[in-house]
Amino acid sequence: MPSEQQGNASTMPTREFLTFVLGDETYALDIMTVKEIRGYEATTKIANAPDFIKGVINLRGDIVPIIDLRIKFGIGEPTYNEWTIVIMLNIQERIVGIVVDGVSDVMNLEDEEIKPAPEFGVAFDSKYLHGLAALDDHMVIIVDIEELISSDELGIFESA
Amino acid sequence: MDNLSQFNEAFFEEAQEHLETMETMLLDYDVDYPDIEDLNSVFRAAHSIKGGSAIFGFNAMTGLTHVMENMLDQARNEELALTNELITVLLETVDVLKDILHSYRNDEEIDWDTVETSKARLESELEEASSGVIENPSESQLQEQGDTLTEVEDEGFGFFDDEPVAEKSEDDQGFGFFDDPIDTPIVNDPEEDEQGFGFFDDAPAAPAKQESSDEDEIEGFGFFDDAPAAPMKQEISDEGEIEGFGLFDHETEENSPKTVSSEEASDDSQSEEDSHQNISKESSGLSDNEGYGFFDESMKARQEQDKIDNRKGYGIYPKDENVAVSNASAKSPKAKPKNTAATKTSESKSSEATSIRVETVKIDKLVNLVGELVITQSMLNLIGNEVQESVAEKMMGALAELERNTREIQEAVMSVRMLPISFVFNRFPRLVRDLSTKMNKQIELVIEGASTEIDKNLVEKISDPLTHLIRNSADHGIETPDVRKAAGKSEKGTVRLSAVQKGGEIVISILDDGAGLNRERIIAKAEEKGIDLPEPLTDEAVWQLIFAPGFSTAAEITDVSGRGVGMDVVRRNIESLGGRVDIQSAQGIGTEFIISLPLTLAILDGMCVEAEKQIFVVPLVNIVESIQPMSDQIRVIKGSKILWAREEYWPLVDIGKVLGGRAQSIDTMDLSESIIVLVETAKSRFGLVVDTLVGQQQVVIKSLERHYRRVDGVAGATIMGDGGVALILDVDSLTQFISSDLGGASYAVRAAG
Repeated sequence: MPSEQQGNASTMPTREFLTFVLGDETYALDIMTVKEIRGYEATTKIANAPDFIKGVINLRGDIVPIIDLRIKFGIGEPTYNEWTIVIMLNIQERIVGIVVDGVSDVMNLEDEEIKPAPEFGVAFDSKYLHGLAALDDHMVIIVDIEELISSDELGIFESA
Repeated sequence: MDNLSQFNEAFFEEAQEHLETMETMLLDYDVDYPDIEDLNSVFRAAHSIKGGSAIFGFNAMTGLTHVMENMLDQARNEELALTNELITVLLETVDVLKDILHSYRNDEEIDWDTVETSKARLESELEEASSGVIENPSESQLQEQGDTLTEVEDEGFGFFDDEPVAEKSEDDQGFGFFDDPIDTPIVNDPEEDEQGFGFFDDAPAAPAKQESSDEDEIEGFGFFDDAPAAPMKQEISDEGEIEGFGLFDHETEENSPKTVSSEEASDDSQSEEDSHQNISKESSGLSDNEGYGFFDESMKARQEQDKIDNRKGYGIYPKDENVAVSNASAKSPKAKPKNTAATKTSESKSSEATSIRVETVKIDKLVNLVGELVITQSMLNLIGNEVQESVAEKMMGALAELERNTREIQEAVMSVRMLPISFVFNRFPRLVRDLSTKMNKQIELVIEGASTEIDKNLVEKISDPLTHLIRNSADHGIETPDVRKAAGKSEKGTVRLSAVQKGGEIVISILDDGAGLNRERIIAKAEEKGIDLPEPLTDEAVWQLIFAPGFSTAAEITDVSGRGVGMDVVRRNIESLGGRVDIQSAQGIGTEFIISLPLTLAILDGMCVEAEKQIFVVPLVNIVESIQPMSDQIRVIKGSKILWAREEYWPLVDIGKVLGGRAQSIDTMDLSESIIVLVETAKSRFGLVVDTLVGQQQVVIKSLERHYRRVDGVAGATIMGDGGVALILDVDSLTQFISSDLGGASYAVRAAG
């Protein structure tokens, strides 16, 4: 899997996004926040945490929480098998893993290619969205992953 | 001097150390029975700072230390008796120096007014104290002496210049040289020996040490250390330095008024002449000091400026020797065999080389890596258990070896982090001295167990709470002399600060022989403040009341303590370190604060337990006992189960439910297959209901908050042998999960604050 994050050969003055799949929809997040991509592994449950927080894992000595966005946003079936993917993110100097159905591609987008997001029709609250972009024949929803992960709604980061 | 700025940090650290040395020594100084060696140490510290600051151009320090040095010099030459007042002035000067150092370190503006005031004060004290005692040689006289000296020295010691270059032969010759005088017992101050040898060790060994001279070094060392190391010194020497302090003083002259070094110059030059005569008269009369000069000289035979060095070497030692000889003979004359001194050389040499400064970041990284290693090792162990057939035995052997080595590495690395608690304790004599002066009390601080080692992180964090408790003892505990006298105690109160390691804990005790806590006043105060009184109202429970926020029984608020903001902070700080505070007090006899802290913050001895298929780690320090309950031990009160064990009721916390996510409550379950781990904290006692005990293990504590957040009932996480994560229970915060509301009285006995 790690090869999939390597597709950033482009030198265009654009931003690169990693696209991933949740249910039937394709999402994208800023590739600069991605630390690594790995397979899902069993977590240690955390007591009294919301169900979308799967627990914590040992990432080379760091105790890292794993969040299942599918549960959080009610998209797709939260199944866990050898194909289940975890994207490890570096957000505000913390590491957080998100469980997704799959990782598909790296895409380059210029700012004008990103259209404002509609107020509805997406599982995510629009404040966590950058906008929409067209990829081939379908839409890609660009997520402001930093905003999402650090939000009070997820409650992973203790509000300062 | 730009190229020197890279050494600034080294100087700052050294200077800081020297200042601390000075402070400690001054505090220990007994005006009635002065110890010249202590004075020498203080003097050397002052001198080293003077020299170093001059080199780096920190003139504010140079000027001040110079005056200080003058005073100390007279004191150690017994020309001036240090009084308590003078000690106070010196201590204040040390404070000013610390401020200056701080300013230089942070590139702040120097408060020259303070510097000058302090300097003037020292000078006037010095003048007053020494008026009529000392003849100050005039400056012109000095100059003369200086000039003539150059010649004299060169002649006298020219012979040394011819010494071979190779270090080994130097050694041999050096000792050979010493062999002669052995026959003639020489009255000498032992310290001079050490110093001399200390230098001998230093010079070749530590070019990196630079101008920073060691505590034990005498003034000459600073210079000698430098000489081989820094090219700029050569320049200076070429200009024809005349005194032992040559380098430093020379620099001083550049940066500050010429007169700075004049007095020393005179002392040195005079003694140089004296000793020179001695030497030429009878070689067997050569003192160690001179001998060292020789060493020094041959050391540097490879250096261009050797002659000059030589001169300097002599410049210093005879001067000290004069002091030393008179001093030593005043006490009991000691004959010092040279071969002992030679042995010392190697000893001090090794001690020099075995201490280095390391950034704490590096050590922390090492500790982390070792943590990883420990985990990897236990993973290997697990895999090793599955290895079959022929290699199994070999594998197990190798794994056992690996385990042993890993544990040793771990212990060694952890010990690197450990510091003697004296790092904290050492600041308290000053505190107590200042407090007793301020409050007109007589307080003696007794420190015990200062060499007890404690994790470096704890050292930093324990300092504030301790300061507070000591202030408290001095202010509220110890009575004024007349009160003490009336109570039939000695006028001098004692605060005893001690540290001892007990198992996995460090126990620090602050014991005063003061008035003790006043039970009635505390209760009255608590009622006044609307603090709930605990039931039953035992002494223990009452004492814990003083930790309540906003609590203070001091009748009047002093600037020392009494605002009541402290004690709750003290307890909170200590508890945040995983420690606890207990109080014992008896009216009229005294009060003791007992702080128990874990030895280290990074590794924990734990008992692994399993509940709902998940492993949890219970800190071993909290565990009283683990039992499999008999059915008659489980009682049901108001629908909640509690345990009868050890002659008391234990409320229960069901780990499977509160942390394992099981829906069913233990109140409707059969507990005969469960294990109950009886735990105890400062506040409460209860039983943890778990499925099985897995085993005892040392675990590396990992922060859960680093990437996630705080979780109630969980102190942190650790990585188990199989690479999985296990949560470490925070027994204190688990009390909130106690299901039985009847346990209240028994578990909350001491939870009053």
